[in-house]
Amino acid sequence: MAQTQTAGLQEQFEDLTQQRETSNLGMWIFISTECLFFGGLFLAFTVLRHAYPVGFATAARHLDLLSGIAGTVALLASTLAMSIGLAALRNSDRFLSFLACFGTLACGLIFLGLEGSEYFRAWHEHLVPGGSFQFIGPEAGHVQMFFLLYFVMTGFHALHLTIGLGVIVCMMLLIMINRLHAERYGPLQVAALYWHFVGIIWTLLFPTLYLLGGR
Amino acid sequence: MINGLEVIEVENITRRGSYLTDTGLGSWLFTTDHKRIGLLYLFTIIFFFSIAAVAAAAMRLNLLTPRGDLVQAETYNKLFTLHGVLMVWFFLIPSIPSVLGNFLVPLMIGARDLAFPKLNLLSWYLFVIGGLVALYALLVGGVDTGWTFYTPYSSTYSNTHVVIMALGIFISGFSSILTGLNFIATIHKMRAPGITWFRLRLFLWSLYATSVILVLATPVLAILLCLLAVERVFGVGVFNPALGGDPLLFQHLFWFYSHPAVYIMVLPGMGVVSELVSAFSRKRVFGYKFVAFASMAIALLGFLVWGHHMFVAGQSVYSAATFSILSYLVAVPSAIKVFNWTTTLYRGSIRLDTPMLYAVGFIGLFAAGGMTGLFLAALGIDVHVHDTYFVIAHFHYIMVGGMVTAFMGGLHFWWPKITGRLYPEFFGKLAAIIMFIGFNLTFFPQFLLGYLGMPRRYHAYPDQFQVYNVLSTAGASILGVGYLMPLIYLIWSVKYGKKAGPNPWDAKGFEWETDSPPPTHNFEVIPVQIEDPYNYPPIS
Repeated sequence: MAQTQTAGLQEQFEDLTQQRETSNLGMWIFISTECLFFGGLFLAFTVLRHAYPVGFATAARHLDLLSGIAGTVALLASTLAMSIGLAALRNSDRFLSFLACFGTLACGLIFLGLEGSEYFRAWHEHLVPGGSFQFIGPEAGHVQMFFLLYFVMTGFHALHLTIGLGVIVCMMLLIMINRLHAERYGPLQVAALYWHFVGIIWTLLFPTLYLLGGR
Repeated sequence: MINGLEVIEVENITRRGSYLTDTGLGSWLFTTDHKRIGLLYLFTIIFFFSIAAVAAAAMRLNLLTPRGDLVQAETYNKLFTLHGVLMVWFFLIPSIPSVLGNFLVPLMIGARDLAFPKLNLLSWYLFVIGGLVALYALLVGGVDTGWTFYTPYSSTYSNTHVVIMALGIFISGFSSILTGLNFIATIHKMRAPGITWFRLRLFLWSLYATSVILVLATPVLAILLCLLAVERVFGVGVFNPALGGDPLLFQHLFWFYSHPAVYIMVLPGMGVVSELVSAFSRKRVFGYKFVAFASMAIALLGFLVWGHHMFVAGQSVYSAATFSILSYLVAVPSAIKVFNWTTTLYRGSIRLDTPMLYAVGFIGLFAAGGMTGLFLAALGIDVHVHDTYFVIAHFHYIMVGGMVTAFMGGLHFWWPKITGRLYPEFFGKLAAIIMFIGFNLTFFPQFLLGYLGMPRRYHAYPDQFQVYNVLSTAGASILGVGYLMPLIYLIWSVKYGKKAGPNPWDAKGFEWETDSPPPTHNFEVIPVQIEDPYNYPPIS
């Protein structure tokens, strides 16, 4: 009994419950940091969008709305799969949990693929800021400003998502070798928290970048 | 407890050794022991402090003569940038939290380690990498923007290595965030039985408040530096008005981080002083709850006052007035602390050992720095003294007079716990007094200089300011002696100091109940808090 209780318990904790609660709290604190990180970006975007509504609306129309919607759906589906994966693990259904994590991974990859094709199209149309940027029209400068912020904001989001995908792969491995199970689901819970946060950021990015103005 | 058992326990501890027993390099570089990581931070910040202090010495030497004979204007700009960047991000912010905090948080709450020991080690590595990147920026030619990186100068016109320096600060920012995260999680979840929130040591309350700022303010700096770098690299406006950007947006975001960061640079010092004042007057801290809540109030109000850095930057009269009033409000919790410390002294059994000399010095210097802060929060006076040496003197009273003094006090107080040895008391007292005199001689003349109108960040000045500048430089040399002395006798004491024993100050607290230096896992048995902290016996 004592043996099973202490398996996977780090030396600084008294028991698994304390360890799980502490990890959860740690992730919540990290999420609060991330909120302020993305918050700075949203603020900068809002200030500049307020200053140049026409240019930003023009630029937003050059994003592919359908691709954006498809990505949003994929990401929402991935968070659903993540929730199922956690619930399944807590109900001792390791196989379903593994499957759901795989679903999360697949949906996340679809999202990254869609965003990659958006990036490629923007590059093809010379909308990437810097030396190769070309845009004919009076608002060219502000369109470039929009795309600078677009790439920074979605780029940071994609970076977070990629890290999340790596974490999910680790979780799948841990489920496979029975290191995660109904008694020890803490790490998956923390990973799920992070993944949901990445999803929430996208649900704010999508309307901000794709939907505001002129659609 | 039976005497025999105690003897056996002591023998066990001696046989097992302390956290310092292992001496291999690998045992330090891959340690997850919070005490060792605290020491790693100590060595690192002393390194950065030394470089930044040399830059300060060069500036003070240059200002001996009105024409600035030592360095050219460009070099001077690089010197004050280097001094500011290293002192703020690579010395002051990690000073008390990452050195004393890392060492003491688990000891004070009766835990074997912080909640996330590996993250703790990671944060030290991030700090070192960030520092090395910043040093690289120095070696390839330096940066001349000042530590504030104001745009559009930093993003467009400066021909120095802004992006590299920003990258260094960006990386070290994550070190701050991870440290804050670790402290919050530890204080919430790992307190030993009996430590309720109102039995928490005041040092921990102040670190908790500091951690909230570290976690919530630092990411804004990170994203700001990213946007600055992006604007500089791609030449697309975010902040540069010539490209359609908003320079005030930069200042808002910068001070949204950097004003709370000022409280990162003093709140932990306040926590240390609360501990020192109580231990050396042998009384509980007067108004414990007020002191605890004052820390939280300073942290929260600190987020609402950033606009007082922008009174002359073109924000509206209404926001300026609002920021002015909110800035005054910060004085309330700050004053509560000062009053409570002084009241704690009242009818205490005061011993003026070295740590207490620093603590008393802190109270006076912090009061002076805080009061002059009120001048700067006043709209009219700020227009007169904005960007003058008055501002320089004010924030050095808080950061050097406050934080560095508290850091030295705390370092001396817990030095016997850290090393197991006592430092030489006579030299300790002498250094504390020299530091106090040197500090005041350096920075008090700068109040006068600023009030008379000498602007900051110039390498030359009109003749009539020379007297004060000579006084200030003379003071700086005394201050330098004050800093060198502890460096020498503390190192000496590690080998030759008297053995300290578990509790040389006869102070209250879990850290004094375990061995000096503590064993690797801090406590044989997790202690239980059965009384209020600072519950000293009545003074007869």
